[in-house]
Amino acid sequence: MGTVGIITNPAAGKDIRRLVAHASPTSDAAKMGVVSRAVMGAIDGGATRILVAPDRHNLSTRAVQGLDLDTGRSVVIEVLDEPAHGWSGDTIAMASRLAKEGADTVIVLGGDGTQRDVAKGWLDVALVAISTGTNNVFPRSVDATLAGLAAGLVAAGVVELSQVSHRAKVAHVRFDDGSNDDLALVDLVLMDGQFTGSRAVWDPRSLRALIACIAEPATVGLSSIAGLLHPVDRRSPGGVHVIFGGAHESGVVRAPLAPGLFFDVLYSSVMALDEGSPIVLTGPGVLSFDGERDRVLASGAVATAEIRADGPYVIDVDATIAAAASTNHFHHTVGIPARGIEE
Amino acid sequence: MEPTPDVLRDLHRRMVRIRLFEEAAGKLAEAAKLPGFLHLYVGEEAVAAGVCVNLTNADSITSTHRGHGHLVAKGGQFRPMMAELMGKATGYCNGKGGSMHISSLELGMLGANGIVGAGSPIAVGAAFTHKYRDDGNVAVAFFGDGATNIGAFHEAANMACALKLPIVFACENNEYGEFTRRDATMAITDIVDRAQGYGMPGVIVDGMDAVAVCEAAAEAIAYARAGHGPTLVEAKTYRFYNHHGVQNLGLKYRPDSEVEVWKQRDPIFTLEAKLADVGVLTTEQCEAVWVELRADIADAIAFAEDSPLPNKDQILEDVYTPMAVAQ
Repeated sequence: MGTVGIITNPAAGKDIRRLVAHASPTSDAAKMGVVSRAVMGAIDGGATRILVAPDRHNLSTRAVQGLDLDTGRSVVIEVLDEPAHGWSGDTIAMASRLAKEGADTVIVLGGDGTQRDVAKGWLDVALVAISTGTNNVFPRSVDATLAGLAAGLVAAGVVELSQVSHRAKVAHVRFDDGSNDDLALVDLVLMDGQFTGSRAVWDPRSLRALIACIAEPATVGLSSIAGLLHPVDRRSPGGVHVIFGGAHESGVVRAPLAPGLFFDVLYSSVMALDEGSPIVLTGPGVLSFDGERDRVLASGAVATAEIRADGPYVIDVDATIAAAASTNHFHHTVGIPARGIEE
Repeated sequence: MEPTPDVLRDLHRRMVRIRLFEEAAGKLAEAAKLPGFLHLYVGEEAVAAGVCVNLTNADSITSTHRGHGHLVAKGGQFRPMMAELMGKATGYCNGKGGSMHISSLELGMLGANGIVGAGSPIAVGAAFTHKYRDDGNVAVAFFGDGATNIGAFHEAANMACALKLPIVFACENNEYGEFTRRDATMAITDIVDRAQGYGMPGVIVDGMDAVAVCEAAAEAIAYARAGHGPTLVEAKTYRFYNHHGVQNLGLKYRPDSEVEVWKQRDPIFTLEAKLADVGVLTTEQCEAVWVELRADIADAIAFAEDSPLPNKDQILEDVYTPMAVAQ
């Protein structure tokens, strides 16, 4: 038995960065292809139950309807009876529902923002993140066939989750006005402004403070500033705190803030941030979570953030398939019926 | 990036002007004081206002059958607009255009259009003119999701991209083509997926968020002015009233609950709440704008009602270009 959930964000990869930067579009047709490949991979990995989270565009449901499931495997594909409204709350609700349904692993199609929503709905989910967004740091570029295969292998128990995953870091954010806590998986940024507007962030002059859970040099987006100044990779504890502007600018770093868009970014300080160490951000300004302006912080309003490694179990696709191969999982001696063929 | 406080106040005023004009037109239609069909723009104000606040009178736009909002956003005055809807001689088109063919060349509004999809090729012509004259101006074609299923749209988009014209294709995706759900007439959900096929960038923006539309439109218009060519901006929006007329609930083709969900996101009220939060306009200042503009609407209705109908001698005026007759 192995249950794999799949969540697709139909809105990923279509925002203003196709205009203000050089991001490529991700069409619905492309996403449906990703869903199909991931589901076929999961089935081949050993999943016996696929739970499809519906989306407003019906991408997942349309993709699985077109699959040739005559693979010799016994598999049930179910579409969750959960309403999809077409906003980010959908992803959060679908992740919560998959937790209740007992999914062993979840395949998530989207950018950093989508993965964040999944974590908001199910913090300790075991997930395989597939990038269909813009400048993604959290999900890696991986072919969906292999991503699905890895999700299936772990769900079916062929490979132990603990051997091939790491616990993602999370910047937990709480607000002094009593509103609901929030979180970021890659970076949390306080910037000048009064509106969330078109949501994407690409103007370096507006930055005031950056808290990066993932600070890797070879990434695109706001977290690349931290990654280029003080690398702390996704598996290492803690993060990086960068402060911009003010009277004490100490340096300039040239960083790709969006696809194909490099800027000289002035900063005043860069500090390593210990796990659990709180950072206070004070308004007015706008908070960007994982590259999207999402919340306006009124003048004097306070948000407190701290990084803890208590987020999703992120499945390493390469390691998973390698581990399965090392046990001869994919190998059969001639003369013995191959898996999936009736004797 | 973010619009300035002056632009935000301008944006708000344009949206309130559209709302009040449309609500007034709706009431007049119910009282049988307006001839013909009436397609109200209520609910979609953020799109026309968010785009047009970035344009000048020298920039061109083409509109749709739901066209009053675009003209108001482009600077249309209430008096000649209301007179035009009533078919009076003092209207923008001397009363001969009416709701669905209202235009003002002085304002760069090249016409509402009764034919779905027919505006885009006209905008491409205007964009060609701007490029040919090298005048630095741009064209914006407003159209709905349904129009993208029409051949004229494809020809327009293709030619605009082939000639790298200064044009923005501004799609108001309100989920319905007349009385038919979008998913009954196309296999894609996002109109922006079509942009790739012509070779232009396409972006989606929340059409109920005026600041978001304004930001995206500013970038698209700057892109066109800089000579980079066409773009497609798809605004996800919703019409609060029926396809035509004023009924909004109790219709068979869309559930009341869906209408109510969208009305919770009213683009004007959400903008007003944000403007009050950040101190750009207080609640009282917003209310003062409504009061002031309501008086303008009342004045425009009285003006239109008192205006004469065009006489029969004017029927052929503005139909043919005056030409010197050879002796």
